[in-house]
Amino acid sequence: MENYIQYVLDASVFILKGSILTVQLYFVTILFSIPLGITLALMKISRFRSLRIAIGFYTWVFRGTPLLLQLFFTYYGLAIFGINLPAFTAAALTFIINYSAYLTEIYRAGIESVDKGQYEASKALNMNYYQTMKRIILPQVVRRTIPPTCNEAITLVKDTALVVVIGMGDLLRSAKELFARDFAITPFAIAAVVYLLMTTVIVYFFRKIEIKYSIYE
Amino acid sequence: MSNQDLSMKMIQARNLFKSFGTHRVLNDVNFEVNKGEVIVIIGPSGSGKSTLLRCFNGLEEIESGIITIEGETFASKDPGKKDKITPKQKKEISAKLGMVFQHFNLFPHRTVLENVIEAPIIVSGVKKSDAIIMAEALLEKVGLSDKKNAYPSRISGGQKQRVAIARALGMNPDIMLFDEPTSSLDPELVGEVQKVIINLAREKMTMLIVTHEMRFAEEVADRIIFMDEGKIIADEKPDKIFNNPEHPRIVTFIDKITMRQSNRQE
Repeated sequence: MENYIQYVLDASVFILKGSILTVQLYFVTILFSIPLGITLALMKISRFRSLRIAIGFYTWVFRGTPLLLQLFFTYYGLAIFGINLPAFTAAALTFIINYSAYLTEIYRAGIESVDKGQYEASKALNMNYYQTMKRIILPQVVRRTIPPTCNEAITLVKDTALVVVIGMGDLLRSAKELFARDFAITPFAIAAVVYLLMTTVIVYFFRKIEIKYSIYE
Repeated sequence: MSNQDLSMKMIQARNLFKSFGTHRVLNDVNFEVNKGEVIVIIGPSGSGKSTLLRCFNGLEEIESGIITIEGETFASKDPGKKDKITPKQKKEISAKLGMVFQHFNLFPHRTVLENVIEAPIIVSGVKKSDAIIMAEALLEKVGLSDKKNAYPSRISGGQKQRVAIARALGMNPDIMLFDEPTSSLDPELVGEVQKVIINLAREKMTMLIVTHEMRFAEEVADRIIFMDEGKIIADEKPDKIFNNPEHPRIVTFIDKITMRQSNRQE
């Protein structure tokens, strides 16, 4: 029994070390893709047709092809053209571009769900487009899109496991290495617990923001 | 106030035309608003009342015609041509008008007080502390001092509309536009909003009001404009419209609507 506890502890430390990369990739992706998603959403509803078409093409491609394929493309595919990105850079870039595509559509729908009376009231008060968006529309969009953004944030935790295919060692890979060495199911169980812990923290965090933003309802 | 001020035209509209698709909503509209005048616009739905109002602050664009606000040209358009007035000029002129909407359009994520101070601070550059003093005075005027920290979702429709009036007044307009201000209110809340508007009329605020409340129209209006199918078919004193109308369409309309309103009150 004592041996088993020791084994679990050692295995956990090993897996947690692997999860450092998962967490790093996670935060880099979130940090860039949310602002990028909002910016692209604003561009997608702009009055410039070519801009709308360009963004539409982008979300079509990146939501319509597997993230795995995109990862292959940035890491192995670009190398053919002499662009050799370090694994982490390639992974972060792919995740940011992929997740921004989903978030763009979420925020676009959010912006379009705001009543046109809000724009009219802003205009009647002589606010310009920038002021209207920043002060009136986007704060309401943020509130409305917290639940779908939370969904994306949870999916992202699990999607980070895909980096194994470009040779990176993450949480899941560490667990699999232990499994291969010991032929025991415990490492997988530990990995599951670590994933659950991470998603729990994320859900808790989003719930907090949701409560903060819903005082006006 | 000099005589010249009194005679100044706050709004002049000449030969206004506008269509939505094939439907002509404004069909050669001409009229003037004097300083301090309260004009109520009545007429069947779809007659172009709201559209006319919305053309005066740029929420709708006319197809052709000329609009001047306090002597300055706000819109000047020949059919099929571009407006001769730039958006920047329009923005400066439209600052003279405040608007109150049927559905209030308060900012739901801002408290009552924040709704009022928002535009003065970010548009006019008023200092926050000054804006708050001004907003508190306006909220007192509409009887809502005790609700200043409430969010719009926590107050009644009548209270929301009074906040909307305070918010519009916060920008110091010379002219107030009211687009069916009581149409989405429960009957028992209509009075409190009308009272605020009547008080503004006593202060000689120039106002244009679209409404279906005939008793209120009669009480508050200096002139009543009757619109039908995009045209102004009467522009008269209330007494004339209600007691001695010339046009048969006005008779039918007023009979129909007053019957409905008295039924509702029973």
